[in-house]
Amino acid sequence: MQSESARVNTAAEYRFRVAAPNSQPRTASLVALDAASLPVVARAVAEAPTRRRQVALTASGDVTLPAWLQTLPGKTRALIDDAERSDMVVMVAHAGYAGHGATLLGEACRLRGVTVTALVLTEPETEDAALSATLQRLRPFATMIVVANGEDYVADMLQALRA
Amino acid sequence: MLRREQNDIVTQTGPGTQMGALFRCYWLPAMLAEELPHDGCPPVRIKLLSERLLAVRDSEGRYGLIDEFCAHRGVSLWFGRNEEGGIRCPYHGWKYDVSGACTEIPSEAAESGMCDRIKLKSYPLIERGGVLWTYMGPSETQPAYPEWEFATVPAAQSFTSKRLQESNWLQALEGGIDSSHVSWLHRGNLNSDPLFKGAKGNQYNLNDAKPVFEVVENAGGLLIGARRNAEEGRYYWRITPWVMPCFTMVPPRGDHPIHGHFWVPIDDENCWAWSFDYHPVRALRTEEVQAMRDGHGIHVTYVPGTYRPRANKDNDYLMDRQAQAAGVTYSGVAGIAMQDASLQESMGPVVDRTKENLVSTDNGIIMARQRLLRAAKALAEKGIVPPGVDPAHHLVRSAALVLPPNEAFKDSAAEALKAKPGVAQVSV
Repeated sequence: MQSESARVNTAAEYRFRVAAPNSQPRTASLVALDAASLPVVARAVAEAPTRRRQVALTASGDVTLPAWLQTLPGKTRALIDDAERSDMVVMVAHAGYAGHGATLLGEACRLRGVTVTALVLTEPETEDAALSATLQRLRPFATMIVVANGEDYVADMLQALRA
Repeated sequence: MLRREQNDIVTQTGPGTQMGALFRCYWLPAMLAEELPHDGCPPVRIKLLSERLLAVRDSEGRYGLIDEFCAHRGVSLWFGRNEEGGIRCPYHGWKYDVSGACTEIPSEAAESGMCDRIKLKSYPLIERGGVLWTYMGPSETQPAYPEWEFATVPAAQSFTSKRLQESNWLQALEGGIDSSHVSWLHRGNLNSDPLFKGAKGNQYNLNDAKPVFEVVENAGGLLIGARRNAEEGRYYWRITPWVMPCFTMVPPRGDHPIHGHFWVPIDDENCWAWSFDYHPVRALRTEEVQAMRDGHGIHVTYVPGTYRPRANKDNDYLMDRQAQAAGVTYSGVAGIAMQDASLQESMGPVVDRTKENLVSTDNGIIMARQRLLRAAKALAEKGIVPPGVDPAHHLVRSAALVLPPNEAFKDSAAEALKAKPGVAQVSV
């Protein structure tokens, strides 16, 4: 007698898999952590309107924490609220980023149980120290960190995650 | 998820397909050398990349992989006689050498020239590390021979097996780079399997059930790092290399041998799961080899006379609900290899990836698919040789090590991730 597994593990039986949707749409909040990532995020958002674009918390150059904190009033509330309404937050930064925005938003996401994925974009000339600095900043709260050589991965990943 | 057309591209490897063209850029493990044990031995039927072939070792010890069927009336040459310098079809006596060239047509006069016009498609077949490798692409682009470390260490340091997996190759490969399933499906094996137990790294695994992952592009494919907490704020890393298109390695444990896999398409609904264990600096111990033959670690036991696992879909994988309930095994299926294979086969011969719901920790899988699709497209449109063809890309190792918290594992573990003759693996 044929076993149950032998009977069902066939292409013919597989056609009877329930056709109803098994998930609801997900929304992703995309955050550009540095200025160089702004256009990357903008392009990813343009591809799918369900993606939310967040571009705040960036700062150019070496900004001290006190100085950076002074730039925040009026920005953080909306940013965190938006992240909270999303199913996932995707932070995008280029290797070398070591700003404070990731920490602020990351901690908020952790408290609210929002999954954070971090994408670090590198160039061929990226130095080890620059990448390490960025990873150190992101590791405390990112569930997954992806180091990618090109920005096309951003859109491909979001599509794969149904976001 | 993948769109349907993307899923078709990455899962179809027959002649004329994009992924088939990609696979035909590489030397692939075709069979174990033990399958052709002596000069003039019986030929072996084998299907690879949806092509039915016949493996031959002629009376002079030359290997060849030729079209399985006689050019005359289409008889399978598996019934052929392995005679002096070639295989002779038993139907009308046509004879072929290991290159597929017809060397004799008894019914035709030699001067007719008929024989010279008959040639079966053939592929090179070479022996390396107890494995017979083939290259199924155009002869003018044949790459240098494979340099995988498991196949280049002395024979006493390496053990290789293969098993039939009744699913598409990509389902099997994706299991090999999906580090997050280990804490669930294989949790019963870490402290009991003779090829895993006793390593300090096992305690890191068991003490921190929520690893965090990092995926990094590498020259030949990807590095997937699973990070767990270690002492004094440091991290325990288990790093899995994937080299395109179908090579993966499992991070080592203590002084146990390193192991890994090839996932080679037979056709679109079956693949060969190759499993190897090797130690870079010492011979495998008698008890280690015996454990591998007994189906421990990543190996299996077989239906006698075949490479089909003894636990297979025909016997419901020897499902043991009592062992499952007692926590001896997590899924009720014994052995790491069949725990994986049983679930991957349950997804159907070719899983419909339009229905899946990936999550953040699946980024290793997402990026591997992206790289495969990208490479297949670049090959098809621009003729760009894909990553993993260059033998330099073969010189990788998995690693398990403890690193400071602020370092990129790809850089800090760079030396540990290189295969180096005579240098032990980096393992905790």
